[in-house]
Amino acid sequence: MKINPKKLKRMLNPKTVVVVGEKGPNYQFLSSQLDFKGNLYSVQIDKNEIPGIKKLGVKNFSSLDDIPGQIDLLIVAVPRQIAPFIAQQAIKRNVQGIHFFTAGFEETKEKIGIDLQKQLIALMNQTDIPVIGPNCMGIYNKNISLRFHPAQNIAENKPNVTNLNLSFLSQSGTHGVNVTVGAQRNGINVARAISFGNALFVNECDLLEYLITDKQTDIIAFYLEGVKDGARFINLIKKSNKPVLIWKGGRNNAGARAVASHTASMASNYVIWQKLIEDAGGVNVTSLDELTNVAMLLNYKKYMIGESLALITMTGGQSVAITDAFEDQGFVIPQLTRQSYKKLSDFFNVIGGSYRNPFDAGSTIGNDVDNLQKILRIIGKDKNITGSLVIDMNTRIYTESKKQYIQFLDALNQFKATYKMPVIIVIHALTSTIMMTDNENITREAVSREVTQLAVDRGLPVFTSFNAAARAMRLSVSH
Amino acid sequence: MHKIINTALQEKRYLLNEIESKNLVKSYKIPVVSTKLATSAKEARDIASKLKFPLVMKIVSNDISHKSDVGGVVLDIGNLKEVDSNYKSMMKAVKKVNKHAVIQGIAVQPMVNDGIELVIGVTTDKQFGPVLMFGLGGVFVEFMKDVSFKLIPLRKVDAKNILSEIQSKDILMGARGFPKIDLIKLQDLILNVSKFVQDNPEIEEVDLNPVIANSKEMLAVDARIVLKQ
Repeated sequence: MKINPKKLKRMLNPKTVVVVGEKGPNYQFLSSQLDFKGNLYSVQIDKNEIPGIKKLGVKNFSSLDDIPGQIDLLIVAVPRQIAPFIAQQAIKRNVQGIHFFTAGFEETKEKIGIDLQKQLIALMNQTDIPVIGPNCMGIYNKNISLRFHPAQNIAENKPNVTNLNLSFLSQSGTHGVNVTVGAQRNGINVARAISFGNALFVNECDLLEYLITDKQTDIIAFYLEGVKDGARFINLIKKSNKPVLIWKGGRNNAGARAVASHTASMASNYVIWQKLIEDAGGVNVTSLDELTNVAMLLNYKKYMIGESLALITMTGGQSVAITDAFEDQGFVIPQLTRQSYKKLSDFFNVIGGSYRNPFDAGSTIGNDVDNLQKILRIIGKDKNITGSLVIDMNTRIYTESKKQYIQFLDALNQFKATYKMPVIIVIHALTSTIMMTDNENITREAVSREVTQLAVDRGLPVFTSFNAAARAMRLSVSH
Repeated sequence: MHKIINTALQEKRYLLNEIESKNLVKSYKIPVVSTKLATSAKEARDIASKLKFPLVMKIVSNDISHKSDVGGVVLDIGNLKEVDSNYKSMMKAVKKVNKHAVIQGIAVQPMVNDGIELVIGVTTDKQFGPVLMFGLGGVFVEFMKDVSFKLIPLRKVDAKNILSEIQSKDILMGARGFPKIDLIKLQDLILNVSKFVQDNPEIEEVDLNPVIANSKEMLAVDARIVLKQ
């Protein structure tokens, strides 16, 4: 089947959306689309369902033929037996694109499912209408409030830590929702999410090709369990000027193959996968967290991306822990220049502290934003630091003085802009309320959330552990 | 289609024997240790008398895939008398393990042992198609899994990069008294393997293990090829 790129574009950016066969009590697709900036219609002949649809304020028709104007996206939620019939109607009606939410085809291994799939393929192969699915959640497009899950508007309008827009392509609907919401919570604007399921027609390569030139997309991310055409996929990643992050699911279950030769036994699918993706310039990630963590940092690409870092913590133990985490990922924590040390020695409190890099700076910064600014100036000018500044922003500072914590964040933000040096903040979830005694559990969650938001509001990326930050930095600079 | 591949497929054989595999790769300028098939003890002696000792003898049978496990490989054979006695004892040993095995004969070849052991292989990935693997042989590949992969067809730059992507690349570059090998020649060998697989889509797997490389030459000592079913 040849996908018509014009129709695909139309389908992903529709002006008119029709949902066929929507069912209560949730009416998931219709109720997700209530903010949709375009025409939304329903086709349903089941008398039991029509009142619920009308209650949502959506106009219902008994046939596709009755709908006025061009249909850009048809969302099909009918039982599988009716799917080929709807496909016929859609072809006749010249819809621009179809998303089959309907499931129960080859994946069931049942004869009826396999037969229905064959019918569907035979029908659609005669046309150039792009079809997404079957068995998937379909299309999210933030600009026009096209959603496939009502929760996707959560955190949609929060300030962002990055001005790069992420678009996410997923073989799983759940991950499609989770990445939309999770990334937005982390301060990443998600422009599009497409859950494409069985990919019988439009596949990951077609969508990647679209996103490579899509103006709304700066970062492309995937959740994939496999690809249909590996060679094309690799070539598209090579072609992309945008970062391509790939979270591969099912990494370890391919090991045992009938082994006839040494080469085959060495080559677990994931080892090959990783290597080829990396060679093509893609970034391999292994979880939702890693994916969003790396995406947060890609904005820093235009900043300093060297390997020599400055690390600041408030206590001695943390200064060792942070250094281990970053050295484990291959970063260098260099000594500063002699001039820097000389300047630091003028004001830095070395009793119970250290400025060798890592900085154990609690007793110097403590209640003094001026001292933090002095330290930042020295780091910014030091030629031995070629990469980022990573700082442990313990919530204890916040609980002592909210105002001062905000001053610290503002100073860091200013430093980032002045010296073009990435600032990475760690607010360790587990240690965040040490020294606080009352109502520990509630406070910890609430305080962590509050301070994280304060940092995100200022465009500063926040990580919940040294290790997560170090890993994400390694992956983001390897791109 | 190459004649050797065609013959095997017609006989519904998917694992080529060592002699077939070597003849096949030889046609792509992939250097192999010359190996001759002896079908009797006398023939083995005749072949051996024209070679430089020490020699290696290996059983050739389509029914046996792991030769050394069944006493089907003897190394370091010093003279004609040993050639004779080994021929007989190897035939007996293999028959003892698998009395129905059809044995084509015994391969006789010079023993090459001074140099670095390399592995060059090809596997066909379900999603990506043929992928070339390179690494150092012996313990490096066996226990340390120190190998790198590239998609076939390789470009020149891929052949260059694959050499430096293994952890033990310093050994390849002649560190600590290891022989200095001709890296350009090695890249060409890798490119020839890529071309060989690209031209013959019937191939599922290739294993050149080991390829022995020293400052003078580079030779595949063993070769096995698996065809697609």
